[in-house]
Amino acid sequence: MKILIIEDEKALSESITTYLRSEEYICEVAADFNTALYKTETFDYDCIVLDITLPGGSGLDILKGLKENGKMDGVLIISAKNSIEDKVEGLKIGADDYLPKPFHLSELSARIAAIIRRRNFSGNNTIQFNDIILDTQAKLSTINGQQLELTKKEYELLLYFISNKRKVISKNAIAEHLWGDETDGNIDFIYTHIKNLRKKLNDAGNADYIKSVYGMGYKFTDS
Amino acid sequence: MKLLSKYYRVNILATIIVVLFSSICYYFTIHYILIEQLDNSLKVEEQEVLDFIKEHGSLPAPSSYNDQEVSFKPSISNAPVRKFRTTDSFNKDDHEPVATRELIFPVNVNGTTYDVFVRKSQEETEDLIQLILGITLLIVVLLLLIVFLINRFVLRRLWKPFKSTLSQLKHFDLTGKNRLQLEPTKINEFRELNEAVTIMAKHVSQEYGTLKRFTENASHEMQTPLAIINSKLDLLIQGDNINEQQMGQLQGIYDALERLSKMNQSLLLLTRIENNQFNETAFISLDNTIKEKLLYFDELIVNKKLIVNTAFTPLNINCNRQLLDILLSNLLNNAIRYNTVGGTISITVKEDELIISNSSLLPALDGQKVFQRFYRHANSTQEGNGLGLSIVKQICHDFGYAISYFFSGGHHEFHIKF
Repeated sequence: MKILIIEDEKALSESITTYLRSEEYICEVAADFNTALYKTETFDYDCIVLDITLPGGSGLDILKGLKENGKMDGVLIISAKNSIEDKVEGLKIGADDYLPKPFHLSELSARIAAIIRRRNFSGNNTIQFNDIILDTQAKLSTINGQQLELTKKEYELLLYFISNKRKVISKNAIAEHLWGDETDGNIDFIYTHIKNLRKKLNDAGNADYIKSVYGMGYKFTDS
Repeated sequence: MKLLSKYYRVNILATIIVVLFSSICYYFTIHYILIEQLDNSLKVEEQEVLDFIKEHGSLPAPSSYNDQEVSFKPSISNAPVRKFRTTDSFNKDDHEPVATRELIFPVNVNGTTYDVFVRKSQEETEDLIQLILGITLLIVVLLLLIVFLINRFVLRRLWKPFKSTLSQLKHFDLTGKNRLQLEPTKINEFRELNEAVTIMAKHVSQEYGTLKRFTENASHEMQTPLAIINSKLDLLIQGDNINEQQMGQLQGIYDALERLSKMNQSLLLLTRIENNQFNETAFISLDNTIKEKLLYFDELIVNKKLIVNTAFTPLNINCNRQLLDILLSNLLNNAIRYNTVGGTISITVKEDELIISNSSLLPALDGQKVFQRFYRHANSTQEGNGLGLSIVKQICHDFGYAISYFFSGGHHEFHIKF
């Protein structure tokens, strides 16, 4: 999977590429408007991570160019402005998603994975982790062919874990993913959801995939 | 004191003094002129008497007609002098004294010196003076009355542009809801005032705009470094050789970072609301929106074992959906966050009012400060950023809702009148 990261802040684009490369994505970076325009016109990407404010122009113009050229690349806008106008404008032009800065890399990765899944025209809407299979269209999960009875939040949690498999995810990132902005200072209750999900996975399957990392986060791993 | 009354006072006082002074001058002048005239006619009479004596060598018969009287008396003085004087004499049938002007002059008839008295009543002269003074007074009174009426009606109209400017200044709103629209006026002073006011308002608005842009830009600029820190932390925790103590420190950084991000977002939101960037409104069912919100907060409520009592009357309000969402989220979030474990939340929707009340460990908050930015109660141990209620207040202000805070029976209550 090829990803283009259009972001002028070097430190941020470095973090993003490091994280995504470890998830076996192939990453390229464009740090200004002209490079970005050249790359988007010349190559095809599975997903483009697009910052709106760029030296030399607006990211929205790159998005417009993509759509005018009939390009099928998925586009995820990341913006420091976090304004409704930008979001509405971006989605109207044809971006797939909008993620305001600052964000967790696990969140970015999950969103990219979702975009690529949705853009996958082979009709394959399932993702697999060992014996666990998630059908992202039907929002169903099975383990060893056996259906798991998960609540909505537990399903989202599992999907988030598998999208960031073998990565340490902070509790803050999980809370923000599941409850958005409404979690101020109240993130300990995610423990209940983790516990329930872990129990359901253990009851139906075998391995304990959810590892607690020194109480600061979790890692979904089979090793 | 009104400028106008001050002006009246000075004006009327000066007018009265001037009129009094000029009346006195006027009186004496007229009096002098009329007496002079009287004296002249007495002199004519004197000449007639002298002519008679010269012609006949004897005194004429004393006469009295038309208020004029001529009489003779042998002179007692050795050196008689000619003189005019005013005396009071008594009329035959009248007991009132009558002012009389007389001329006394000596004549020598056949070696005997006589004093000749020519008298003329001053009554007519006095009457004339009185009449003239009366008319003068009447004119003065009329003049004062006219000045008063002019002041009352014309000045009031003249001051109208000033009053209008003043009232607009009172309602001037920096957030741009009430722009100044000063009435054009032909009066130089008011035009200057309006120009000065317009320039000042422009300056103030510009300064305010600069300040707002600064807040907005500062918040925007902060987002990127925050994003970098966040991403570096996300990478850092992937490391294999981090021990538990270091993880604890990283968690501290995460938590602080999250607070900083949320505070920054709240500041941005406040600026946006002030900038009226949420102007799309729709009629939204308040009770249904609250029900959705409660579902959303279900986990937090269950986690704290809170009891939620609701009493809903269907109510539609004209509001921006996003802002209403934020308003309700902030109020409910506070009601949950500052609650005790096993506490209660009561939500009431009446025909034009929303009341959210919750139990809490915190005592009464300062009603004056509760909506101020960064106000937090001294005993508060919860991690709030102190902007939630400022945002609520700003949203209410934008839509003309009245929000108030009460504390009764250990419960914090927020009332919003739509």
